[in-house]
Amino acid sequence: MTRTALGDLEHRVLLATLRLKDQAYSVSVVLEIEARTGREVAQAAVFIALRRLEAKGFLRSRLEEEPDETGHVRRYFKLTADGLAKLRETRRALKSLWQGVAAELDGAS
Amino acid sequence: MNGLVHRLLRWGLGEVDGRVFMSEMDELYRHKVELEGRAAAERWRRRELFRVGLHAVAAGIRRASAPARSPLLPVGPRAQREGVEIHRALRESRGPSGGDLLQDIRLAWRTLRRRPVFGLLVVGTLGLGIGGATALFSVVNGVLLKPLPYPKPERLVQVGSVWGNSRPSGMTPPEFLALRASTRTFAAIAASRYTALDVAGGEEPERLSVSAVTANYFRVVGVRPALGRPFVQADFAAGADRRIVILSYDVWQRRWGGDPTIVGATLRASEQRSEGMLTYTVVGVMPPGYRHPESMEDQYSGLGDTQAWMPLALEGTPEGELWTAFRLRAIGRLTPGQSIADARTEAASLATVLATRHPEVYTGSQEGRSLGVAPLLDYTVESRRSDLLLLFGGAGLLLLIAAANVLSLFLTRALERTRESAIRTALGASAFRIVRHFVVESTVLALLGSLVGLGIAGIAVRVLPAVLPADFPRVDAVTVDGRVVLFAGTVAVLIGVLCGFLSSLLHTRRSTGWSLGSRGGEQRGTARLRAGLVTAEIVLSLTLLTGAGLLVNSYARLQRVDPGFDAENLLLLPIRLPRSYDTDEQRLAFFGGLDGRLRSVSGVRSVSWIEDPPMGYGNAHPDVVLQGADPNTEPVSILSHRVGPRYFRTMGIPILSGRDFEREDDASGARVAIVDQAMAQRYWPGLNPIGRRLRLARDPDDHWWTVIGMAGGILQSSPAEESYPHVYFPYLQNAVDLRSVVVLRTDLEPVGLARQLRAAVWELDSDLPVPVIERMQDRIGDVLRLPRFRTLLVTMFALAALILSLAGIYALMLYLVTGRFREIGIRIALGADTRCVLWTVSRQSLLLIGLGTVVGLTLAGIASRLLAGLLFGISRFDVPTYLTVAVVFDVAALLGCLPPALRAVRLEPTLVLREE
Repeated sequence: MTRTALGDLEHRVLLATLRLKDQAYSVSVVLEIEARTGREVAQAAVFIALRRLEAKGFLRSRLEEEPDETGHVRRYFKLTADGLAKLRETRRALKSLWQGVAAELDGAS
Repeated sequence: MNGLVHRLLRWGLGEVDGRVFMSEMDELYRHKVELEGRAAAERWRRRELFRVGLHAVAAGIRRASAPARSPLLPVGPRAQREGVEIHRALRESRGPSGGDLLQDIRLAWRTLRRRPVFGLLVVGTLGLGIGGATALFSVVNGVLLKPLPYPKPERLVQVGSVWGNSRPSGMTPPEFLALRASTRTFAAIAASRYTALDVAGGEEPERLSVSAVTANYFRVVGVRPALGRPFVQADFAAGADRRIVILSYDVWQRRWGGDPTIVGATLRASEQRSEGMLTYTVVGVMPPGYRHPESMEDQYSGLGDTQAWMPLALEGTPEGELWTAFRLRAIGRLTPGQSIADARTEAASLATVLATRHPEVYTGSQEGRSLGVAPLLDYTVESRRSDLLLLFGGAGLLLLIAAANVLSLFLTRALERTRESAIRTALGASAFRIVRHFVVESTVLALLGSLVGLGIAGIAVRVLPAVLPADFPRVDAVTVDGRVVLFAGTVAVLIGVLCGFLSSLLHTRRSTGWSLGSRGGEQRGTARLRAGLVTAEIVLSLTLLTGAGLLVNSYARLQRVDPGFDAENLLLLPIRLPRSYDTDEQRLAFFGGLDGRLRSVSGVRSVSWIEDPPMGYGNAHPDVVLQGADPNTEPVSILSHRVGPRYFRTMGIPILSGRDFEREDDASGARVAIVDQAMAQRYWPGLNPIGRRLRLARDPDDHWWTVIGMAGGILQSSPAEESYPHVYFPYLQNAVDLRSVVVLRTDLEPVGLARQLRAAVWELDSDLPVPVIERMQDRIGDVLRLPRFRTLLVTMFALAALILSLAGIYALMLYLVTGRFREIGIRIALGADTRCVLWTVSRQSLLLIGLGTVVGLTLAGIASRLLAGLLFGISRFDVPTYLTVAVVFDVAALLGCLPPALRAVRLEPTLVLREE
């Protein structure tokens, strides 16, 4: 169990990175989160969060320079074993919190 | 703009990630243009740049201050967190919000932790300055500002005799009774008279300091006993039992162990005026912390604060006796709606009536006497007000110097941070935002400094009672209370805001691009400001140092003053016999017996006694008529003493001509007197005093006394006074008073004699308390306590000021020299010799020091007016003092300039030039 807790944005960024497999960098993560959640997210925030998660050891990155004339540089991220463990832990925690509330939640709506 | 942002990002995020961000953002930007149009995309881009820019600033600052870290991203999690926080703070600063100030404070705190030396310097310097000022403020607050600890204290006034505009002093019983009977402005008026109660039993007899008070006392002070009852009217009625006592809480706790059954208990005691041991009943105990009004205490009692109260009955005594009997200390409580001016008018018109009714009383030295009224608080503290304000002023100067030093530190720091601010401005931070950042940071530091200052004040308040003179009013009210904390906080906030604001001006006024592009700063303007600050510090320090120099000089002279007697190995043992020693014979027998017993104690060389020995025992100066003087002239007032055998030998006072008193100078012999040199010089200048005659103006028997000797002059109450005329009479030709002080000359340092001396007294009378046995040197020390305290404090402030201003000079010099390394390097490379370099770099500092010295000494000369009344044996323009202070300060200042100057001289030109 890691000591640092995941923030809400970090949680989302980690999940998006996992979904995107090898293609996760700030642009694709932003689009993924916006597409899935329907809410806008700042690229700078994602950019910073990716690096923070890397500093925490949940992600690792590689740099890719496009050989074409666009001159694009991208930093791609991938989950480490720690990152995966952290997601599992978070899922377990959330699941247990979700348990037994469906009736109230649906009944209320 | 774009180029700038690129540079910022590359600086903050590192070369690689700076590029990565720009590139990835560009991708998404194009995506946004397609989806939402160019305008929306542009807005989005600006927002994103702003956010990431803040992060970059935080990361960059962090990396710059920790160079060991890898220059590449990722920066540590803390820096990231900070970035987000700055981001949040800035975002919130666009609209009014309460949370951003907190963010600023946290940011300031963190920035300071990264610059601990700077922080410590500021906190330490301000701690010193605020500490001094706060300590003095707690004294000013406790003594001058706090209301007296009685209900509705503003209605309390001191009432007494006045001459012209003088302070109300004691009043006679008939005056008091007349005022009490006729007053319309006072709701109640009470008088108090000092007395003592010698309580027998317990481990040893003890003398309690007692105030005998009139019926209305408890109404006037507005405090009732915590246990038992106050005195009531019936206690003062003719024939009532007046042997009742109310104890102070402290004495009840100490001597009676807080015995809850004390009310109604009896004690065996003798009053000063009572005949032998009598039984007294305790009727009450005052609440803890209650204090008899200090203005009613007898400062010469030597027994300290009142420990018990007894009824003072004035009724029933024939009026004629009362006029000359004694003086009362009176206080009154004004009726609501009546002002002090009303009370003054009433008292003065009553005095006029009394003067016409009793013209015989208001003659001679009593002519022009009237009745006056003064607010009780003013009256109590008046004597010390100027002293306290002077010391507070000294502390204020120190605080100013500390503030100037701190401002100088902040200015330097601000210069170093121009780039940081430029970046913030570039990212859209408003001028207000920048100013606030600086102000918050400096205020946080200043508040930390005030915490240190409060600590210093807390210690000072604890030490104070030990160094303050015993009769300093209201010392017990000196505490670090809410008002003191508020004072320290306010001072800190003022200094913090001022420093932050002034140093932020360096930032908001300049153009952003210029700062980012160049490394340096607007050095010239700042240098001028700093030079001004340092000059101000020099001026203020010199003022303080000169003041301290004058006081130290004056104090040294005071200590060297020859009091006219030998104070070494001299002990004082006050004796107060009860009324039971009714006749002269009884008293003579007691003192004769005591004389023999004391002389047989080993280590005691000589014994005598006197009612009022020098140094703070009070004195009597009756009017004396000199034989042959013009009968139309007023009698002269002369300090007169009745002395025991061998008095002059015991005290070490030389007999300059004529002879000492002998055994045969007794009641059967011719009446003789010894005058001192001062008296001889004043009244018989150039003539031989021996054989001249004098008499006491109020002596009913009109005895003439022949002068048989002239003794050396002595100082009676303080080394600071002028030599006053004295006359001595032999005890054998004069009634011995119940109250006398035995003086003992001992062989060695009189340590451990006290027990034997007490035992000798108790052999004669086991119920007689011996409250204190004092060394004459301690007595003189007590008298000198106030000048010593004053000198000590001002000197401490002056030394602190010296250190601070030297630090200021050193820092300025270092700063000036460092800023000119390149120029100096070139000069050295071009062949300038050491002397030339030294001159180049120190010219400005020398000028400042010189200017500061001249202005400082001038200001000191002006400010010394405040010291004029406190100096002894030295003019306030004492040239040697001014010169010494100037030389010492300037030498120290030059030494402070030396290390930076030497650094310039030792500069390796090639290294400096290559750096550029």
